[in-house]
This record gives sequence, C-alpha cells and structure tokens, in this order.
Amino acid sequence: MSLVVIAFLVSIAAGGFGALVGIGGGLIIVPVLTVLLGVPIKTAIAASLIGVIATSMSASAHYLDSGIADRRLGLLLLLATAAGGITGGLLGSVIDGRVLALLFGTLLVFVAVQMIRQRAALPAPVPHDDPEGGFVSSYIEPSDGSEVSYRARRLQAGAAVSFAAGNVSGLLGVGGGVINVPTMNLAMGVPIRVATTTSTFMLGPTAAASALLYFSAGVLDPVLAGPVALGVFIGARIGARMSSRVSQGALRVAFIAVALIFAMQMFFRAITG
Amino acid sequence: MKGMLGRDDATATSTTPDGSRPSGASTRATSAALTIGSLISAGCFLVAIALEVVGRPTTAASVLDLTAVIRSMTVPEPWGWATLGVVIVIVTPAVGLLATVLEYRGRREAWLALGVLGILAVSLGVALLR
Repeated sequence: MSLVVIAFLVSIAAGGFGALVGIGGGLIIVPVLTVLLGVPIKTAIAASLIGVIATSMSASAHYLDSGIADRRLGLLLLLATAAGGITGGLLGSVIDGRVLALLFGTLLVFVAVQMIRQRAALPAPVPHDDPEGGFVSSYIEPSDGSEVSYRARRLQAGAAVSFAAGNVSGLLGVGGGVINVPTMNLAMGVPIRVATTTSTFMLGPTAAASALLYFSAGVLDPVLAGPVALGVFIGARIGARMSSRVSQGALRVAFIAVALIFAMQMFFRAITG
Repeated sequence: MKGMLGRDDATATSTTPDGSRPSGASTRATSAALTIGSLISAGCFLVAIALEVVGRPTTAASVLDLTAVIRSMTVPEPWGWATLGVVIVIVTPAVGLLATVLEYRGRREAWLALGVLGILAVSLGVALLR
C-alpha cells in the first residue's frame, strides 16, 4: 500500500475525531507521518496544517449554521491566534523542537488534570444582569433543545492564551484547539460544546497563517498534503454530523483522553529527538 | 457594564430563522464560502490521488510558478492538481472572513474580521519576502 493511500486512511480517522473535539487531528497525523511513515517532520507539520484548515472549513460551515459556534468570540480570539500562527511558523525554524515538545507535553498534562477535576461541575448559566466584563450570549443545546446562556469572561487573558495557541499551531502543525478549548471552557466560562465548535472555527485562519510560511519555504509537499487534507475533510464531515448526538460529558472525557495521549507523544519526542 | 465589544447583550434568548445566533448576523455567506472551498479543493485532491494511484509521474516545481502548476495540471500530473488544491485550502479561510465582513457590515464584528484578514495579509507578505 502506497504512502499516499496510508496517509489518506489515517487522515480520515484523525479528521473525524478532530472535528468532534475541536482539535484538528494534527496530534495524530504528525506522529504517524514522521514515526511510522518516515516523513521529515517539517513536511509532516506542513501537511498537517493543510489538514487542519480542511477540518475547520468542513466542520465550521455546519457549526455556524447550527448556531452553536460563537463567531463573535471566535473572531475576537482569532486576532491573537492568527498572529501567533505567524510567529509560530517563523520560530519553527530556530527553536529546538525537543524543548518545545517537553514544554507542550507538560502543559497538556496540566490541562488534562484541570479538566478531570472539573468534570463534575459543568459551567452554570450566568444571569443576564451579572455585572462582569466580557459579553453574554446563548445557544440552543441540540441534545435537549434547551437554551443555554453564558458569559464569555476574561477576554484579555483568553486572547493572550490564544496567541500562545497560535504559536503552538505554527510550530507543531496542530490546530491549537488543545489549548483554546480548555481556555474557553475553564478560564472564560464558555460551555464545552461552544468552546469546541468555536475552536474549530478558529483553526482555519490560524493554520492558514502558518501554512503560508511553510508553503513559501518549500517544505510543504502538495502530493502528500493532498490526501491528508482530503482524508481529514471526509472525516471532519462525519465528525460534525455526529457532534450533536454526543453529550457534553462525553466530549469532555474524549478531550481529556486525547490531551493525555498527545502529552505522552510530546514527551517521547523530547527524549528521542 | 459594557463588554469588550462595547455592547450589552442582555436578551440573547432565541435563534434567528436561518439558525444563526441571537447576535443576529446571518452565516449563510460564510458557510457557503467554506463549503464551496472545501468541495473544490477536495475535487482537486481526488484528481491528484487518482493520478498518483494510476502511476502518473510527477515533476515538482516551485509552487509560486503559476505556469508550471498549470502545465502540470494539463499533462496531467498529481503535483499540479494537488498544488491547486492546497492553494484553494489556504485561500478559503480568507474568503470566508470576507463573507463574514459582509454579513456583519456596519457592526463591530466586521472590523474584527477585517483585522484577522489583515493578519493573514501580513503572513502572505512575510511568505513572499522570504
């Protein structure tokens, strides 16, 4: 079986899961391409970024039309995330990947632990007259049709973390959702379903900002990136259709598991190079 | 107290007929742009994969060489079609943001979308100068 076909099949699975939890699938694609298929890591990262954009494009249309993704919040955070994508793509040529992998793995373990400790306490609805910063919004929960109100708080802190997420996206070829989703959910008070769908919406422009730099540097192989992006596109369509049938609790558990798996991958990369 | 965007949204209680959020802006143009970009790029990648599977040779060139890309597509070779698909994938988020600007025109969110487009333009400038 050729590299093209293998990359295509793996990308379908990665895209489906990525769309479901808002992380883009890069955390699966990059290790498989580099460790199992022997693809140079920068080429794998560039291909993964194209896959991340494809995930976002495919799923965002559905999430926006369903009214779950908070486009206003996403645009606000995108100012920081996309800027981070540029610096991440540029820094990728100078920063030792092993050091970054170690730091990122540590961060993921921390995030996963924090989400585990929050599992029993889903964000409570915020009263409309709550005099805090940020802005109030709501969406219709598809699993039971109820209207869920929330207030997106700590916008400045969220933007700062989003900038870091953009850097990680550009450096590692992941979508940044592994940082954006817990930030929006835990720090900003956004319901997990809104956090994942809004993160998916943000992934496309963020990864595009980085992909341009890899494209111009000549490390983006279109013949490899093509099947990766197509596989992710197909998988993302499947994942987007399934998202409304999955409970918020299940999404949270899935995200925790993925974050821990990704952390172990990063520690392995930091040790072995 | 007004939020960061300078507006209170104290009565977000229902969705609009097209399914968009209570903030009111339609999402149809944005979602259409994203969907069309997805489908066109997917078509290009399907062609590239099919050409790869049947064993068509590929002669890669600079992705910035438009004539080389067109020539590769007409031969046909996997590289040309895959390159076109990659370009469409990268461009589509920007097109989606343009649609968002139109959907939010006259509102603060349009400026947010323009800001993100400006950042993407900076990335393009840096890429071209490298």
